[in-house]
Amino acid sequence: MTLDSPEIKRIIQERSLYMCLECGKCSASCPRMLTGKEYSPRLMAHKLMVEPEDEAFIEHSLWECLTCGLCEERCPSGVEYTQLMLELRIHLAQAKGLMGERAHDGALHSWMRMMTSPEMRQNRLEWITPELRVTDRGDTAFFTGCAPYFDIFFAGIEVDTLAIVKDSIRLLNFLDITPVVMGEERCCGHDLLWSGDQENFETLCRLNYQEFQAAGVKRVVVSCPECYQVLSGYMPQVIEGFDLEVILLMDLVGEQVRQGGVSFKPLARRVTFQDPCRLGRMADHVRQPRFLLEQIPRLTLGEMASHGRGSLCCGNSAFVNCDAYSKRIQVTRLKEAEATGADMLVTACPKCMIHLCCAMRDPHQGEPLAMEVCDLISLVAEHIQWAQSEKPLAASQ
Amino acid sequence: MSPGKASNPPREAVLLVGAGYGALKVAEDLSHAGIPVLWATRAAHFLELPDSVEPFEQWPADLNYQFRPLYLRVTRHRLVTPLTQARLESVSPHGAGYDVVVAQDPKYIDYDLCTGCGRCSEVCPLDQGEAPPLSRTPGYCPSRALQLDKRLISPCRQGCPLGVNAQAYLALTATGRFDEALEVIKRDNPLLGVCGRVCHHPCEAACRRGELDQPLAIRDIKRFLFDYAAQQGPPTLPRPAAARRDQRVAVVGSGPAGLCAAHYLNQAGLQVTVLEALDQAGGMLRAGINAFRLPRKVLDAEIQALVDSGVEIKTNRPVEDIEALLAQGYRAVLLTTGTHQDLRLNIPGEDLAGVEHCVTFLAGVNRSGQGKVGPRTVIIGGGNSAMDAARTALRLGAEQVTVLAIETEDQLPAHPEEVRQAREEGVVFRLGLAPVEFTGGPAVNGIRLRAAHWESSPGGPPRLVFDSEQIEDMAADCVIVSIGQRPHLARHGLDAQLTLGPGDRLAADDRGRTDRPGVFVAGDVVTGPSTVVDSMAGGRRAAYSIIEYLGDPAAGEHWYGLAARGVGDYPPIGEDVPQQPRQEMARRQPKVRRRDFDEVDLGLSQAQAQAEATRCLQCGVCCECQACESACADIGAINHFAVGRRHQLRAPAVIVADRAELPDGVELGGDNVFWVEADHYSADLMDVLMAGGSAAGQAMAPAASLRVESVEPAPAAAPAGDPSRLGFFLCACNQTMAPAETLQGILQRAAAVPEVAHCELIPSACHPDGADRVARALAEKNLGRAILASCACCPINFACISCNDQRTRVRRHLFDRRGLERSRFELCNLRDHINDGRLSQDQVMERAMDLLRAAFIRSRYLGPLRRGDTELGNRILILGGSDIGVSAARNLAVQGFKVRLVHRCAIAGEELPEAVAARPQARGLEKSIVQVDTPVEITGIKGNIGDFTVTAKAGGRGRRWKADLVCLTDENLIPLTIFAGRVGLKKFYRYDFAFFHTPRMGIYRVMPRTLQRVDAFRAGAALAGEVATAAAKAYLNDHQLSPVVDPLRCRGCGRCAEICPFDAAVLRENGDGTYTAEVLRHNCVGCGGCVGRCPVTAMDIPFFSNQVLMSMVAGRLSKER
Amino acid sequence: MSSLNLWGICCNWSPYACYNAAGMAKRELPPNFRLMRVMCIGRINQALILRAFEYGADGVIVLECVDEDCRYGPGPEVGHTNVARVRRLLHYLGIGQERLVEKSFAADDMEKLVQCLWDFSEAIEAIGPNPAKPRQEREAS
Repeated sequence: MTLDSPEIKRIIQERSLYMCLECGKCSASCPRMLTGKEYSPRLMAHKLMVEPEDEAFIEHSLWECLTCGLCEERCPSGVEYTQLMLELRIHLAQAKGLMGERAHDGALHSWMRMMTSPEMRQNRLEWITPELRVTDRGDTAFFTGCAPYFDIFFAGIEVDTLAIVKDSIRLLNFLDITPVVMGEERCCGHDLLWSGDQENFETLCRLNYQEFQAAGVKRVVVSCPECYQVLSGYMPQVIEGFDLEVILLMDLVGEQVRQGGVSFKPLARRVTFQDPCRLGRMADHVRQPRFLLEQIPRLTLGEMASHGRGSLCCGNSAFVNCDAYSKRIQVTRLKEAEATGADMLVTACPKCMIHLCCAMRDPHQGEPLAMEVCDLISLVAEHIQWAQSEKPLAASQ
Repeated sequence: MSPGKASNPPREAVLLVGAGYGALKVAEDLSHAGIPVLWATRAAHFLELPDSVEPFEQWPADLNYQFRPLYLRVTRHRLVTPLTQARLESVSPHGAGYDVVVAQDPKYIDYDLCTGCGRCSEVCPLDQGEAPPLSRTPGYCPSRALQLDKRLISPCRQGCPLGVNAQAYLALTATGRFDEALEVIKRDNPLLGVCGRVCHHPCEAACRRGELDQPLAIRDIKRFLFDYAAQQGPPTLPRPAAARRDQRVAVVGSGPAGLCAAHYLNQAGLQVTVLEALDQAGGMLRAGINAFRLPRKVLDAEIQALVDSGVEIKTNRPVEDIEALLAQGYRAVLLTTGTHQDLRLNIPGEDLAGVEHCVTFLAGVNRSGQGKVGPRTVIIGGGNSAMDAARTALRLGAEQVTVLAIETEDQLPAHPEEVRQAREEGVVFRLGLAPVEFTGGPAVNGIRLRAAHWESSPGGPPRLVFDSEQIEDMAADCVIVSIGQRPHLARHGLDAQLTLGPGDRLAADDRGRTDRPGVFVAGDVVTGPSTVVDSMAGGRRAAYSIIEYLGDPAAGEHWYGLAARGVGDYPPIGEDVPQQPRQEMARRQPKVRRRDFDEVDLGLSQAQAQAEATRCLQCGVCCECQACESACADIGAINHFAVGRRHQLRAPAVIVADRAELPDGVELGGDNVFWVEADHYSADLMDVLMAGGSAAGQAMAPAASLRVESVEPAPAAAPAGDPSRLGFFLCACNQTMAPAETLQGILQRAAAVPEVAHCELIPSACHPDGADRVARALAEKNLGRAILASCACCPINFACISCNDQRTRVRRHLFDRRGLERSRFELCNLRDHINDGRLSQDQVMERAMDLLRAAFIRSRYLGPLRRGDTELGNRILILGGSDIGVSAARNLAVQGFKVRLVHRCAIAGEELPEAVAARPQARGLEKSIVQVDTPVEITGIKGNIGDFTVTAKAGGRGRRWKADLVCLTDENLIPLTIFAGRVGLKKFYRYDFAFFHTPRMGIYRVMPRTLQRVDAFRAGAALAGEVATAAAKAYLNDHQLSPVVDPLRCRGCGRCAEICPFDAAVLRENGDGTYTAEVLRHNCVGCGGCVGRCPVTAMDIPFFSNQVLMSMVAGRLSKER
Repeated sequence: MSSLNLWGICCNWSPYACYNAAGMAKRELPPNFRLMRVMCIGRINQALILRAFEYGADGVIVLECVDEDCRYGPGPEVGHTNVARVRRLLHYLGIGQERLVEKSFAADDMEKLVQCLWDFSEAIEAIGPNPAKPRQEREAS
């Protein structure tokens, strides 16, 4: 099979690749390329259009892309490069069984695929403690994501992504919302989708949607940008008649802050913020996190060399193709963070937290890069309080 | 194939005497150091401990498994000649060394060929018994080879003049294998039907069962077998396999001796003609033995079988001129004319009508069926012929038959059974009487008798003595004189042509050779009247003499050597063997049977025969039925006729691991005898091994001149073939893998796999022929990859604790000998996992295919293994001038290494221990040893085996030493390589029993425990031996499974380095602040721990690659197959 | 024959010696048990265990050497860590941590191994099939 099939031509066409001016801004901005990897979005574009017979190159490069979207951000011609990669991955995964080099030997993909079984009866809510108010039926659901699983799997690098989830519920409770937390929630499917496994992704979407419907949910609150991207962007494409409102928790909190009535406890620290690609560039949420950080008295935000929509990726997405260059991106990013003079790195995506922590736990290079890492939601949850009350939220535990 | 080592031992080698773990250590160290060893023990295998050794106290339960790889490596090492069941015969000093003679017992099983398939054991009729002749070698011996327990030739077989293997046919009969039992008999007896009826069975007289209750009814079982076969069809004898030589031999006479001789001559491929004077063949068998004892149809059938097998019989051909025969072109003549002339009493009245002589009488009856007796018939004589005559007389109508004999009941020459049967039929016996005259005229009417007895006379025949003068008259109408026969040579004028001996018998030596070349004699004509079986044996002896005379000197080798072949004792008759009466044949009632000439005995039933055969005590343990030898025909590992051997060699040194194995009275002296002693009797295994290492180290110095490169020279590499073409080879394991149809089914299924270009069933993969077939197919069919489904399962270099001799031999023959690339093969262990004995054919098939599915998956990922080796120099740096260090330095210097000894060492930043500081400098060290005496601070050891750099500070000045190997001989230096709390050290070296190793290859150390075990001198020798094994390898191979790192993927996270206890995974700085992992080839042991830890699959390992493991899970678990 | 899939991951050393000895002694083993051999349990990672469940194993048993016997050192420890983590994942997934068993053996523990595999088989039979079957099986049933 060659790569100049009508289907590939169609994908290229739809993603505006033919608009490419071959200006090279994509490659000039690509973090992979910049850390020395033999990978070039510009060359990939060229091969796809002009030399589709170079299968080896295209099939290899396809999985090299971080899908961070920075090239797309810079592209003057509006080539939807990230979406192009996604669709090509899906197409070639189906057609040729390609799946790229999976980090952690594919362990995460394994459990994500296992969740496509409708018969599963998970025990995923055991971490819920009595002071977290949740329900199994209601208007508003909180989508927890894979945090409970990550923390077990990544016990070696000592991340606590479950804290983000707990703090999210705490925040919702603070806002007087008792969210539905579904015992049979599945992985949102983001990593399967972005590694090309559309079939299992769609199954997960359907199973999750069934659960939402069964619980009578109308509105879904999410804290993870990847879950947000899937639920707001891709799930509606899979589910016919999708009628859920999907909202980021930070937006919900931001709304409340703007309405007034809440205040924040002070935190005298210099922090810096890691923009997750699915949040900043893809969901255009550059301002909201910074707005929330600004609410915390005495907290100063130092911006890294690259930030906002031009932010540097945490080094990997969808647990595909993590390698020496991923590490270099992480090191670069952590050095940028260090250069801000901050002593705390605020993240907004559990994957960013995992990837950057992994680089920090490196016995050879980690020591100088190590920095406290805290998720935005946790930071907000820890410091938010009702304006009249002296009692901080944290004390109610 | 090349002959096995045991049959071709070296002329010069270190001699190691005795079994046990200490000896194993000696053989390991010496062979690995490149020094040939001849290892002899009286034991059946090398780990058999001497009786005097107490069980080790500190014996880990699974230790035997851990000794397996070592045992294999050592006993199959090309420099070790292992001789079991071998005795040191003599040792005599010669120069600085010794001249040695070692004698080895016969090895019935060739361990270079035996594949351990166990088919021998399956076909062995005695394998189910309490003392099976074939047994697996002990559990901890990694060979699945079998041992054959052969004792003295059983008494029954020794008792048989023909050497018929009664033990074997009893064993086979007991298990219902009648056809094979018949084959066994036919090897030694062509007239089994005759002998099954009329043999006087000396075998039964010899039977040890007689000591317990009654002897086995061996003859009756033989008769049963003959009758059993007769139901299927006429008896047959094998047609000679050899092309008929154009050499004709004449046999004169067709009695038992003549027929038997003709048979063996015919089997030897000679053209035999039997010349019989009478009109029917059979000689005395026909003339002298009654039909009611030997039915004519039995005799006729057996003679016909002989004719059918190629023996020519001409009747009515009396021979009168021997010269004329030779002139007719017969290359040799055998005379077996028998004794057909009756002896006479020479008393008055012997010529009266009605007085007959036995042979004449019987021959008349037997040949024409006619004969006349009177109402009162008297038989004179007490032999078997007399009994025949008496019973014949009854059947001819005599009213009263009396046997008259001088002998008492006990002395009667007739077989008691014959006497008993005659009595049953009504024959009256009157004993102690001698006839003195026949009365009457013209016909006899009476006999005059006197009481008499035989008196033995020294040096002569017994003398007749009359007891009284009184004469008794006895009425008789018919008298048959039956007192013996003599040759009747004069009848045809042969007496004049040959030298005669006593009694007109022909004179010959004990093998039937006369004083005339080409003329041989056998049977009664030589011996006088004897038994059927003795005559046959005489015929056989003469036949071999003739074959020998005609040019084959080995003709009768095995037969003549029979009694001498056995070794050892018969097992004692167990106290729990129950008494059990002998089975009796059914017989016709006396009053009925005396009416006719039909057979009296009716034979044993099948149940009786089997029950009777089961009574056999199987005295010789192995019954030598040779069923195993047939089953092993393709392998050729079993030889029942193997003989012992003696080996002579020159030994520069002798190591004694067990004093008890020294020959009596031998005092070993001289400088170059070393003992694995004192400690040998220790209850601590480590002491024993240390003593072994020490003895080996000491012996290396005098044996240094024998040192060769220990690594086997690689054969020319076989062509690589097309990797897209996969060959599938299935080992039948000498028909024990699975039933033939299952194997065919597997082959068919494998052939249907698209990538399979060739399928083949290999009789035995670990046999040299098997490897040759695989190699040939690979070359002819241009196969680039192959699956070998056998018992081999090796992902590493055949050294794990599941390994066995068969598997290592697959490697040796395929890879070492044929030069095939290891990485082209996927080896799949079918044999051990295909069948638990309860599965149906379909289930066996299903399981086999399931196992093969994994093999097919793996075969897709076959690829080059990590290859490479490092040349080692001979620079040895010894840090620490302890007594051990000095001893090791001396030893290594004598062995020819370049040694540097650094006397007083401390690790940088640490105090020099007082004991070390105060230690006096060692004196008298050879000049070749460079000694550095200044107190030295060691600052580091960098590099790897073959290329170490030791940095140090001495007197404020930096020093650097290069070395191939480093020894740390003071305790304070040990932290240089063994860091506190390090994982994976404690047990690793248990498997190699290499005490001085450290996790860093090439760095050796002495632990305090070592000193507690042996004195410093011997510890130093042991250390030197260990060092020499590494140094003498000259090349160090990379571990084949050593992982490779993809530097583009490696994140440099260091998890691999963290997990590796061998310092094999290290991180290299790239010059830009980033790190990449690297696997050090020498240090790696191929566990794959680093690969498992890698979060980004940047490392991969052959055989267990990420891809393979992933495909294995997917391919074997999913339902799509 | 039961339709359940029993999967073993086995260290080449002591447990495989036991397994091999059982084979040579013609001992009966659960017919639906399949074995994947690695040089050392240190080689395995969480992915390898999880993947077995992903592809439809109903039970997985990790066969390793007793701690102090590991030929390489860290193997069993790695086994313990991986098994402990995967058991927690399995528990969260509702597949059931009892489907993952870890056992250690000395080289002469053949009897123990045979017994252990039968016990394992019985235990998994009692629990029934893995609810997270691979897609193609779900569709087939």
